[in-house]
Amino acid sequence: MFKSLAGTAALAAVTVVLSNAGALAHCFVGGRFFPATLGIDDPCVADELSLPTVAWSKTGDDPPARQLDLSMEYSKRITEYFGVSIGSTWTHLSQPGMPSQSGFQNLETTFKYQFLTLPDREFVMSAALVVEWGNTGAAGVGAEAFTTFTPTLYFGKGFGTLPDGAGWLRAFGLTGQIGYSIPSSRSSTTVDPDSGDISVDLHPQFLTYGFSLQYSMPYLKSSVVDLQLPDFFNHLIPIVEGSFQTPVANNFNTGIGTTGTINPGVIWVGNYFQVALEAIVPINRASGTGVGAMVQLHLYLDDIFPRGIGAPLFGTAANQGRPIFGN
Amino acid sequence: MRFIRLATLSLALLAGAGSVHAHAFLDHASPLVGSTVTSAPSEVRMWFTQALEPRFTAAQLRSSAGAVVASGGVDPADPKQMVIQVHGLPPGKYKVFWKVLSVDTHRTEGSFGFEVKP
Repeated sequence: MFKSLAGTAALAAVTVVLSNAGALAHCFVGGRFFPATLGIDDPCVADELSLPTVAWSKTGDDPPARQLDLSMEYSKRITEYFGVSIGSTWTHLSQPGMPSQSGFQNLETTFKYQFLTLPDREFVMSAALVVEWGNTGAAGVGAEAFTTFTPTLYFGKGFGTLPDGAGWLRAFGLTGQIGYSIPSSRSSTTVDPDSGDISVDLHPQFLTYGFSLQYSMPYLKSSVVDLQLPDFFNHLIPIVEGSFQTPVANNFNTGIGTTGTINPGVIWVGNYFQVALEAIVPINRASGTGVGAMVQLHLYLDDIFPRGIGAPLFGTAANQGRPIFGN
Repeated sequence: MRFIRLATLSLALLAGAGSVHAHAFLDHASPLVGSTVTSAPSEVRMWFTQALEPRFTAAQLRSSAGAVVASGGVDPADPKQMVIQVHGLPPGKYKVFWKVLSVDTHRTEGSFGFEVKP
């Protein structure tokens, strides 16, 4: 019973880490707007608040546990291109025949620098250090006692730079991320309270990666062709996300393989906030059971409070000066 | 309970933010984005979602060869509109480039094309 619950909790933690990996930034690159994504992070730095993100899913245990995650994340620009995010998730696990478990996952912070922005190419890149702080959450829902550091690289590319002949394809955009998670300790030792047996659990290092393929109806209307659709449709961004992690070191005999989810859904983008709804489709049995769902309300603080808490602490939010057009 | 409090606070903040401004997006244009017109327009007009700062806002109309045909800026009669005056555009494909600064200091930019056919 203890091991089954521990497995459920561990999987819950993995799921939370995967779904919580995003800083969910407000992201303009030239004529392209990359919305905040739920499964992965987007490639920009911004002032924003995701509150709440609600996810329902079933774990890969046998029998599966029902999992409910309530998350929030606040991101703050220190300078125009450097920001810090802090995120927290409350998890409720319910497995047949076992007592329910509830509690917070470990606190997560992200230190992110947007080091390359090419507006004319609709291309952007950022680098970040994601830190999951050990012992800041509840062990009953899988929060680990060790800290994990994940250096991560992000990119975003709009297809608006394709030739005009590409037509509607120019409204597509692609974002992605790849990171390498390093636990602060290689293993932990546990003692079975009933038998007194001692077991050693390795803490693998993971390659974490993901993508989002998005079709921007706002971009289609403003840059490709105005179909004069009802306004609601002009705010939609249909999207497919994927987020995965593969153990690559210190995983001998752990039985841990690649896990991840594919998340098809849609995002409605407004002037001050966006609302997203995505399905959670596990890629294998270890990643979950059946199809789950997640919804999110995401606030653009830089638009709501442009001169207050939505502005960078240092420097200006925009380059002032008369626009210059290239040749 | 903690989440409910935070969510309530967020919605209250959002509701109280109705008088501020956001990034300026191109809402629509005349000629329509990506359209083909059979008579040469006398102007290219763009409607934005927010008021614009005239000093830091500009637009250019270019031919398919990339030559600048005309330039424009914010319409003095409406800070949410930009206009490029043109005269006697010959048939061909054209592209409009715009860069704007909304009144809350957010910069956005974009481009779109249209075609004039005889």
